[in-house]
Amino acid sequence: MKLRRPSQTIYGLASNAGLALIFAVLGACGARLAAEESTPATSERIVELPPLLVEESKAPPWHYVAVTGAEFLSRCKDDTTEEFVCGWLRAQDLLKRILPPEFHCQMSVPHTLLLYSQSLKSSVSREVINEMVAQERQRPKARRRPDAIGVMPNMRLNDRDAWASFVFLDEKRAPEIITCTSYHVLFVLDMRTPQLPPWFISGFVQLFEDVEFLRDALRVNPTRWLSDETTKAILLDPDFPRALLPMQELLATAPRITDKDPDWQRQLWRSQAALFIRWALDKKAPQRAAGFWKFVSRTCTEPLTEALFQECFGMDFADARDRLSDYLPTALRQSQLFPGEKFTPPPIKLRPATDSEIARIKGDWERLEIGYVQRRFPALVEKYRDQAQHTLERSYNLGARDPRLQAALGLFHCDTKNPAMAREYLEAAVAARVTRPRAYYELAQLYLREVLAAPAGTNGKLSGAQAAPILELLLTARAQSPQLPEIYLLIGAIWERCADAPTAYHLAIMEEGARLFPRHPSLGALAALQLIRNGQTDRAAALIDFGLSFALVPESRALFEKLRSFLPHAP
Amino acid sequence: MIFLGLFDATAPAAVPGVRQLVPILTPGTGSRFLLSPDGRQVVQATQQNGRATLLVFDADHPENRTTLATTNRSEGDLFLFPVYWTDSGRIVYHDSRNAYFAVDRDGQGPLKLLDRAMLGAEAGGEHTAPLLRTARFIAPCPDDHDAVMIESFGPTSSAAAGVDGAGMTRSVLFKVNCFTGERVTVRAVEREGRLVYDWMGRPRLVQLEPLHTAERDFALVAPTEKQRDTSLDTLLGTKLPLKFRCAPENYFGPRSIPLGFGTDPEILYYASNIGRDTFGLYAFDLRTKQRTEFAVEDPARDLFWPSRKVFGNPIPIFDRHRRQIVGLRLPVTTHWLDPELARAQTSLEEILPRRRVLLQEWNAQRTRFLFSTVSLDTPGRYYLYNTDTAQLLQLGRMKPDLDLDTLHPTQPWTFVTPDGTTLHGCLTQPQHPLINPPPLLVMLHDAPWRTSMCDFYSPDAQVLASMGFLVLQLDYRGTSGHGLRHLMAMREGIDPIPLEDLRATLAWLAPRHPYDKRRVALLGHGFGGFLALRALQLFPKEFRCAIAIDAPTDLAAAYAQTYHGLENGARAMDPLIKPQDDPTEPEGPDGLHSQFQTRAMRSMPQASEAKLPRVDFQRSIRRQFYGSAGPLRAISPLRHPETLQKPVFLIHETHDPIVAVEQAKELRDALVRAGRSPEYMELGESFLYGRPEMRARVFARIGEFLNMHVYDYKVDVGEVIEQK
Repeated sequence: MKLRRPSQTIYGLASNAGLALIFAVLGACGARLAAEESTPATSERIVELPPLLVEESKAPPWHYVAVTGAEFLSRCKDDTTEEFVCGWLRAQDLLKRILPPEFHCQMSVPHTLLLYSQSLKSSVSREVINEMVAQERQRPKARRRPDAIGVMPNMRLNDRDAWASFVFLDEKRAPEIITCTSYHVLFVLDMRTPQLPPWFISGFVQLFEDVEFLRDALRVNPTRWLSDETTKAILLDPDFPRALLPMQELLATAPRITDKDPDWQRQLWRSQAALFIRWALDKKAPQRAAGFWKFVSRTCTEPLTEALFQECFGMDFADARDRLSDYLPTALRQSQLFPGEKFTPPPIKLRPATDSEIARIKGDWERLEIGYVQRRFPALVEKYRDQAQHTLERSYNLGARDPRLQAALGLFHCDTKNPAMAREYLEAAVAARVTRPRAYYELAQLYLREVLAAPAGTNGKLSGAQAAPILELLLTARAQSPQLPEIYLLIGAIWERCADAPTAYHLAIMEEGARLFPRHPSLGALAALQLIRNGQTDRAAALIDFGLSFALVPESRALFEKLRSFLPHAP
Repeated sequence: MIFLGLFDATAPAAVPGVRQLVPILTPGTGSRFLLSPDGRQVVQATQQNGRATLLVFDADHPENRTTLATTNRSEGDLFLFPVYWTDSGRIVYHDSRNAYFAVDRDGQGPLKLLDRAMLGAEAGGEHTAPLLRTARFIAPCPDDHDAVMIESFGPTSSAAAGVDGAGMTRSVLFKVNCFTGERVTVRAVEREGRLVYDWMGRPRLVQLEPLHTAERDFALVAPTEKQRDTSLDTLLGTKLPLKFRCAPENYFGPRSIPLGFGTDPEILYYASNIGRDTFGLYAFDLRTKQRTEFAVEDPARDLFWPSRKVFGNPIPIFDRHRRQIVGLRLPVTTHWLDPELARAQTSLEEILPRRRVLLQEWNAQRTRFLFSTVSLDTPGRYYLYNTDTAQLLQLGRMKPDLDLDTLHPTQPWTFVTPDGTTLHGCLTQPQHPLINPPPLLVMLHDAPWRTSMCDFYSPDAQVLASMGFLVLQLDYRGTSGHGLRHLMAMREGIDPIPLEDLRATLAWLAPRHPYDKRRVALLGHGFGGFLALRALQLFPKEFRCAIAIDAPTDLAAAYAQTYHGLENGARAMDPLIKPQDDPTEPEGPDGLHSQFQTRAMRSMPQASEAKLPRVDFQRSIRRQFYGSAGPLRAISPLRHPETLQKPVFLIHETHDPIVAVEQAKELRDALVRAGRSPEYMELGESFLYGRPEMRARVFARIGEFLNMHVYDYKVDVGEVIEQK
């Protein structure tokens, strides 16, 4: 059995559908463009998890609690769970001290956390725990905290629109401080829209490796620069030779990597991005932080220019590079404290979990496991698939009709390539107005496949009536968070295949998608093409310029240049 | 309860302390780098805590380093200076006492190649004057990879003793084996001047600087000692009148200056402004006596400065790997003859925008480039760029103790005045002005030699900006570097023309960079100090106060008087032509040469002058430039002290070789007699090139003066209001 990734689905569809002019211009490069420019910062990080199955048992019972932004399903003692939930909320609050909330992704679907006691050895593979301990031990000693629990993730799996964590708690030794891991931060940043610049995502995640959660503050500890030897040398001699990228390269859409020692080059790019952020947030120059956040925010939606940098920092690229170089010894020597604000935990009201909640949260976790197992242990996929299906369906078969459970079932059948079943569950979930963007998107895809088989419009295209309900689903998905590029790409693809012209509202939405995801050139190209066709040449020209300013690979540039040639008065 | 009215004045400004100023004013650390022929290793010379160190490290793994040599200041060695890395792996360096050494890259086989005693002895028995002899690296030996060419230079014994032949120097060129230390004398030349060598290490040109006549000339060195040298003008005759000979009459006029020889050693590059306003670059063939097609010109700027010495700093750049002349090192830029290096220069400037890149060395494959950078508002850095990995390795900083966050941004500016004059300058904006808009301080440099400071990082401007001033530097007409018209325009009006430019600039500046028009101060050095005083006399409503450093207060007396303490005005000209912190100006052996030479010459003159009076060439040029004494006297501040009603601070070097300290004293006394209270300070060393601690103390005094007279201490307490 082969699982598919949602993003692959839409890119495949877009390519198959032709997307007339765009792919006529550059053959099948569109799919490649989309793949090449989709957030390089994240693709290199893979969650390494061992196979995991939580076996069914009646005791101890599951308890449930929901707080702002998260649901907890716990099989730990109540006081352990309560303490953990408070710690989790505190950690979220502290995270905002160093990363303002406007740079966090917004998630309509709450984060689900399964809390599991390490004492329940009979139910959980010992290897799982051993693996987790081993992973913690791999962290540099300076960054390890024996009394802290890395919550996100102890084990963590993500869907396109949701995240779930599995946390093992040693109840014999209650955690004092709950921390967020850099992987959690990666997800928070990576899913944020408008898309954050890759240097910022990579740099912040790297910086977070040095972040320590204290009871009432975050501390960014002294960092290590590339290697222990280099770090030691710079500490001994602040003027010791060091390689630093020019700022225009550091802040470019993606790092420039040559054939020689590419790993080292990537490491330098990440480390310098982290250094840049550390320097910008240094408490000794508080005015710099405001300029920095302004810069990050602006570069999400504007091309990077030295003028913008100058406006935000009061210095040019070359001066900034020099300052980073001079700041490096400080970064290796000094820590920075980000004090938290007074935190009052909300009342935590635990209650026994319902069968539906257990099935939904645990079943959805098991569904997410399938993808991981498929990549690492393909021989075990069937077992995991059966376990997930069993968990999800047992409650449903007992009459549970929670739309979120139905959505989870629908997504399970999408992932396991059972479109008929998927459609049944997804339609029910959507009819109940479930909050689950991917549910709408997947259902839209199923509908689109059907109508593409029997287009009712002129010239073998879809009619407006055929397109309307699918677009309606996608607009509902768009109204939820996170905003997903595939939704906008599907909207563009539908209009590309539709006999009717898009409405002004839909044109604006396509433009919105292009600007939210500037590193997905296909979105910009599709939107620009529709704007050109519908006489909105000024807007199209602006969008082409915007796309060009973010385009990285030559194919992307060629695509936008070709689109520009369609504009009236083109050179 | 009693409330006081609102304070009317700005809060008193803080004057940065001496301790804060010293790092800004401290010259570079003297770090020097040398690239191995394969580009994989770098030699670094550093000076820290009174200790000079020479070490070598791997360019890809700088942690792998080996110390090659160390010296202690207490032992008299101030620095170590690497000069060449032979193809056979020996590193040649010298110390501050002019002793040359060689060592393997792994520190093995250290060997002294030359020291001053050896130089004196080997210069020839009757020419021995070891203490006055210096040595400089000339070139790698063209026919022996293990050897280098080193020149020993100094006065002849008789000249040193003041017996006869004052000004006669003896240059001996040695071929020195870097493994054995074996020395072979290649050529000994006695001339009244300094030699210019071609890339093969052959003495080809002599810069004639006779002590007793007011002229300078260049001659081709005769192939053998028995033949006579040939003046370039004589060689070219009327067929190609390039006017290499110069006298005070044409020093600032149409003439040519030889720059050095090409890959083809019969091609001589030269700078010339004959038939044009600015100095361009050209070449002629010694065989045909015809100009070649080579011509580089800039209608707006002189590509070469007439004051630049040609024997000290090799202008043609020699590529050791290809054995070719690949470029010409100009005062501000480099003109590359090799298009590949020109592209490399452009690429590096794109990588480090707004920096002036000085490409210094590269490996044989041209994949690794050692270079330095500098900008208007940051002291320089050294880098190694690897084109294979696009890696930019910062090797070091020229001023590692300087916190960049304390520096103030500087931008060049240019505009055309209403009467059509194009003016250039730069503006340094204070990061933390004490009042808003900030007060303005105008820095007026010396003239006519002083070339635009706006090509270089200026620590003085940084110090003044740290006091909260917007600092304006202006290349008023009368400044070198912008062509003959710009330079000579001042002769139409010694003070009106520069002051017209100053006032036009202030008018242009006001709407663009607002400043407090009620708080404009002037600070000038040399002739610039004179202008500052004149501006205060003529436009007292526009300027608040003036600081005049080493300023002539009586132009006629200053430029007409004779001074008997210098050889050829050499020392007098140095500070005038050497820009501060100019990274293009090597501070190594050539710079030292000048110092040693000056010291050497200073010990000579009394005896020789007794026989024949020495001509002060520099003063002759000034006299020629400024014209007759009558008009100068009329505009001299000393003649009208009563018109100097605004606060004045006079600073003067006690032994200033150009303007006698009496001029400052006389003005001070005249002002006191007129009922004023001028500030006065005498310095035991040069203001421009003195020790940073001394300069910091002077600037602190300047800060106090400005604080007192620009920021207003007066506090209007308002009327007393009684409240119940």
